[in-house]
Parts: sequence; C-alpha cells; structure tokens
Amino acid sequence: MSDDRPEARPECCCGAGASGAPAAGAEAAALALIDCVLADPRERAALVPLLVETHPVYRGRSAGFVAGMRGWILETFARVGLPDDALPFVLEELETGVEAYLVAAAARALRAAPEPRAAFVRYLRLAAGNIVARDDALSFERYGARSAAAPGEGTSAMQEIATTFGWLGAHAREEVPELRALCGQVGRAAAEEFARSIARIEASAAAQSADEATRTRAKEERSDALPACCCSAPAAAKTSVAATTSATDREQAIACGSSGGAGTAAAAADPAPLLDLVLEDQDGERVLFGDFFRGRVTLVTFFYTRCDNPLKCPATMAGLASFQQMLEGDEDLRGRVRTAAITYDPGFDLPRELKGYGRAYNVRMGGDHRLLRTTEGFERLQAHFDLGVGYAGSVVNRHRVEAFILDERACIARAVARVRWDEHALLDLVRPLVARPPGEALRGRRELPAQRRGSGSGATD
Amino acid sequence: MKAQSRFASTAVTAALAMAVVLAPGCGGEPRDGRKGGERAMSETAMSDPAMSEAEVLVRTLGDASLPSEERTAALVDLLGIQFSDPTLGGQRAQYVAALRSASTSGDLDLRLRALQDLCAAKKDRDSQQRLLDGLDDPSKELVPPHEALRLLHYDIHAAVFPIARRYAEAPPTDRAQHAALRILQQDPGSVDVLAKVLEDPAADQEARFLAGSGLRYLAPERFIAAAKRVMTTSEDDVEVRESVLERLVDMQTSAEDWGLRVAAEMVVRDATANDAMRRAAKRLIERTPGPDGAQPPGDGTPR
Repeated sequence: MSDDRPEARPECCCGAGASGAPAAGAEAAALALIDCVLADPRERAALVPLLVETHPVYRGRSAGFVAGMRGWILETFARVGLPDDALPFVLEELETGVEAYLVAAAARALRAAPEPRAAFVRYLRLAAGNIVARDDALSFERYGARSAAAPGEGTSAMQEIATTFGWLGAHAREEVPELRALCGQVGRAAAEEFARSIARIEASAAAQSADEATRTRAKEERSDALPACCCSAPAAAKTSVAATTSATDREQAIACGSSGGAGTAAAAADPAPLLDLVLEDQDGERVLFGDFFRGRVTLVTFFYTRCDNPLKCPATMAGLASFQQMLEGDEDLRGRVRTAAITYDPGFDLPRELKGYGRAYNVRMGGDHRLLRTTEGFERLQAHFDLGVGYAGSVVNRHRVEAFILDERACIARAVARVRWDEHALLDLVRPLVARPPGEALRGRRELPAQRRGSGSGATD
Repeated sequence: MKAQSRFASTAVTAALAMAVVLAPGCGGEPRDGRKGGERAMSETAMSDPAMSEAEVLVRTLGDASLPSEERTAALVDLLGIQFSDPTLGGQRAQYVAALRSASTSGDLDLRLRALQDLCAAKKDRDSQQRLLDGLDDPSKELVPPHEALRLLHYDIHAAVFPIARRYAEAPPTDRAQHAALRILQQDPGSVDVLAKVLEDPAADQEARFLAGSGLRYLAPERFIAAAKRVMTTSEDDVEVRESVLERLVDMQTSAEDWGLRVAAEMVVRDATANDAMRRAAKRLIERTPGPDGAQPPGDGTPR
C-alpha cells in the first residue's frame, strides 16, 4: 500500500499533528492535518494518534469538543479509507458509544475498511441497540456542524448503521430478522435504508450460496476467523477482532520490568515508581500502592462515579461484581486474587462516593477488594498504566474502557483496553498467573527490592 | 383516530400531566398545550393522512411558521409520548432536529421548554455550546444567564466550570450567582471560589449557604477552616454563622482539632451569638475535649 511510503508526507503535515501545542493551537494543527490527509489519503495513518484521549488537542476541552473532533476524524477516515490502527477506535465507538454523532461517524468509517468482516456484525448490532432511542439528525458536511441544518435534512445514526449493515452483505444475513424489526423503530429515511440494506444482504447471501461450497468455505477461512453465528459469543468475537487490530490497543501482554526491552510499554510495566503512591479506599483507609498490589494477582479497573455513559463505568462496575462472584465460586482462585477499581476522578470521588457507587453495583468491598482514589499524584498512576483518559479541568472529558491484570509483583501482566472486557475472558487471563504455588508469589514479593537495586532504578526509593 | 387512541391511555395522560408540571420556566401558569397540539396535528394530518401522530407533532414543533402556542402544545404532547416510547415511533432524530429549531424560537417559553429537553435528557452538545456562547457574549444570549446556567448544570461534561466561576465571582444577578454556585458544588477545582464566597460577609446570604454546602462536600477540611473564621466573626450574618456551626456538628470533625474547640468556646462566650449557635458550639466542644479533658464553659444557656 501507499501507506508505506515515508517520503510521501507533505511538509504541511509534518508539524500539523505535533503534540504539546496549547489547546487552541492544537485544534488548528489537528484540522490542518486532517486537510492534509483529505488532500493525500496516503497519510491517513497520521490521524490515528488524534483519537487517543490524552492527545493535547483535547486537553481542557469540553466533552462536546472532544466528540466533534473525534467525529470529524472518523468522518475523514470514511472519506479516505480506514487504516488498521484506527479500527479499535471505530469498534469501541460502535460498542460503547452513546452519542449519535460519534456512532454514526464510526458506522461511516467502518464502511471504509478494506473489506467487510463477519466480526464487525456484533459491533454494529450493539450500536443499533444502543442508539435507536438516542438517534439524532446529523450532518457530516463540515467540521463543527454536526447537527442537520433543519428538520428533514442530513442523515441519522440509524441511517448510517443501516447502510453499514448493507455493506456487510452476506456476513449480516443472520441479522435480517432483527433489521426488519428495527424498521419499525426508525424514521422513514432510515427505514428505507434498512429495506435497501436487507435486500443487499439477501442478494449477497444468495450469491454466496450459489458458489461452490468448498470455494466459499476457503474464502471464509481466509477473510474471517469467525462464522456469522459467532456474533453471540462475545469473547470469541473479541478475540477475533483483536487479531485484526493493533497490538497496542486491544489486549496487551506487557513484559514486567525492563527485561522486555526498551520502550514505554516495558518501562511502564515496572511498578517501582508507584510503590510509595498513597491510595485511599472506600472506607477512608489509606494504603500504599506497593503494599496493596504486591503479593497477589490483582485485577485493576478504572472508573469514575460521574460517568454518564451506562456502557462504560456502570458496565465496568457490574462486570467487576460479576468477576468477584466468579472468583468466589472458583476453588482454585478463591482468596488468591485481589480486585481494585480506581477512580479517574479522585478530587470528586471521595470515600463516600466510592462506597455508594460500589454498593449500587454490588461490588464486594473489603480487605482484598477495594475501590480506591489517589490522594495526590494521579498523574503518576496515569503515566504508569498509560490510561486512556482526558480532562477538562477537574472533569473527565473522555475515557476508554480498560482493565489490567497485575502479577504478584504488581507488574502489569495483561491489559485489556478500549473494547469492553468480558469477565470470563479475564478469569482465563488470571488463572495461569495464580497457577504457581502461593509461596512463589511471596518470594517474588521479597525479591522485588533487590531487583530494583540491581537494575539501578532507585529514583523513587 | 390513531393519535387519539394513544392519547387516551391513562399512562400517557399521566405522563403528559407530569411533563406539563415539569416543564421549566413557564413563568407561572402552564399553557393549554393539548388543544393547540390537537389542532395543529389535525390540520397537518389532513394534508398527509399517512403520517403517524408523532411525525405530525414533530413537524408541527419544527415548523417555525406556526404560532409558538401550537409548537409548544406539540412539544408537550411529544414529551408525554416519550415516556412510553423513547424512539417516538421512529421520529427520534427528527424530534431532536425540531427541538433545536424550537430552541431558537422568538418565544422564550418555547425556547426554554425545548432547551430543557435538549439539555436535561439529550445532553445536546450544540445546545450546550450555544448556551455557553450566550453566557460569554450577551449578544448571543438565548435565555437569561440563570436559566442558561441551570440548563448547563445537567451535564458536568459541558466544560461549564470556568464560566460558572466567573458568574459566581462577578454575578449580574443573585439568581445567576446561585445557579453558578450550584454548578461549582460539583467542581473540586472551585474550592477557592466557594471558600471566598462563604467567607465574604458582603456576599448574598443564599450564595454563602450554597458555597458552604459545596465546600463541605468537596473539601471538608477547607470548610472547617472557613467555618471557624465565619462562626467567630461577631459582625457577620448570624444566620450564616449558625448554618456553618450546624454543619460542623453534622460533620465528623477531629477530636483533636483544638482550633475548632477554641472557636466553639469563643462562640459560647460571644454576646452576639444566639441560643442555637451556643448549643451547636457546646456539642462541638463535647466532641473535642482538649488535652486535659476540659468541659465546655458553663454560661447558663440551655444545652
């Protein structure tokens, strides 16, 4: 592909996406970069970093600004083609997005992927369910004008979802009854679009059926890891999608300490800089990061109580409660795994908020299971976990869904980010880490200070 | 008629009544929305009988050429329908577009009703931005500042805190300041502003109550520090002093906060303090016995 041509980038693009600029300048730079990409689609991968929540363009800006910019970037992908590294962001929006503009933009961008895949069906189905009662009249004509100019004009999220179902063709054949049902819940324009898409899916499916059976099977094996029926198996579907997406943004296996080689991921996995970080739990009890997180395998999730997306923090907490129940019911894991949910919003989420939120979702709270806030130094935590969260002053303006599994040395062993995690899958990730006898874990804990001295990384001691 | 059968249901009628009661900024009496809505709907429906009732109402709401009373009536009906059908029979997207159109109507009541649904239920980003623009530049004002702030209060993610701080510190009206302070009660980054208002004897009394509530919630230690100064300032508003004292009693203050004990003892001896203040002060002293276990000074006031 032409993306491989490093010299093709025009001069104006080189500085346009630079990070570190003040917010207003960063916005202008981002828009300039988008213009460059529209002029030269081979540069489209340069836009992917702009989708990361911590990008300077979003610093201090409202959630509305964030949505406007992200939507316009996705729309740009819809026009110039979707690079592989942007796919997790698109799927994230379809799975957990509740803003019609962003979901519509994601549905449009998905159609710019190199080819339709069966694994996309699940995400599109979730998007339809999430957005049908949140639909909006939208425009994608220009940046900053996301609402349709007048009633009856523009498009809508359900219309875009309908079109994308049609683009999936035969992959979506199992969805046809559901799509027919959706026709009754959307407006005329979207219903007509659903009807066209259903016809397209059925035509595509019929054509596929007519092909030679062996040839069809071989083609499916090449293009899709999953048959269409796998859409109801979330963990499997996610695994399939993970295989098609960036290694940095779906599920990561990160080497502990510096032995994994140079680079931010390996450095971030070393817990040494965090060991003296003070955390406060839902009862107001203070504990050092190193004291709580070392000694046992721990599932760490992030949330904030003021999150207004029911598919993110509330779902995370419900999933955490479910994970805790599964731990209790598992003879091999019971009492050997800790859980922690840490707030993105430590200034507001004081112990009473943490406790109330935990109770609301039946989260187990006690010695080994805590809801935590930093009393200071949240930025250290953010840097260590490379958290996908942005702020406007004291308020979160956007965050991703993310969970981490720490080994008994508090090193990040696994990370699941951006697309919602499944507690069964997490349990499978935890199990091998606790398979070793408890004594080994304790030895690992005792060895840590010596390792740190030996590595010469004693800056935080 | 299909529309009438739906409106005839008890649930929708009840929801409709609730929507009328909940409608904001009506300036007193709610309008007779039902009659206008039915009239507008029947006229439009006659021109296209294939339209659903929701579609007719949405078109009525979005039609800027119609009298605002008819558009308001259509909005009231649509609010009622939403209770039982959030998709509005597939008209959800067009409904939001019609709401945006109504939010720029020349009729303040209709504007407020439309903005209420856009901001409270839809968290509509464009409406939030227009309200922020109006607060920033009065020439772009859609609704009075206190209403704009109230509407923005529904979504902390609207980046309203900076402008709310401005309105809290330099308010055009008391109502605007109150609305701004209600917003800042949710912002840990605004504790300095809240403390300043609470400790300002010249500030509006209600504003000081609101600032105190926010400060106590967001930064209990800052509240205790500010409350000590307020409760021991004899010249200050007695009701504000009493309020901070009572809030201190409700809080879990440290048994070793000798400064709080000293402040409470000053209140007990203060001739300007009322009986309620002295009672509250004595309860604080009881909770803070001091290094020698000293008891509160007796002055004959009831305990």
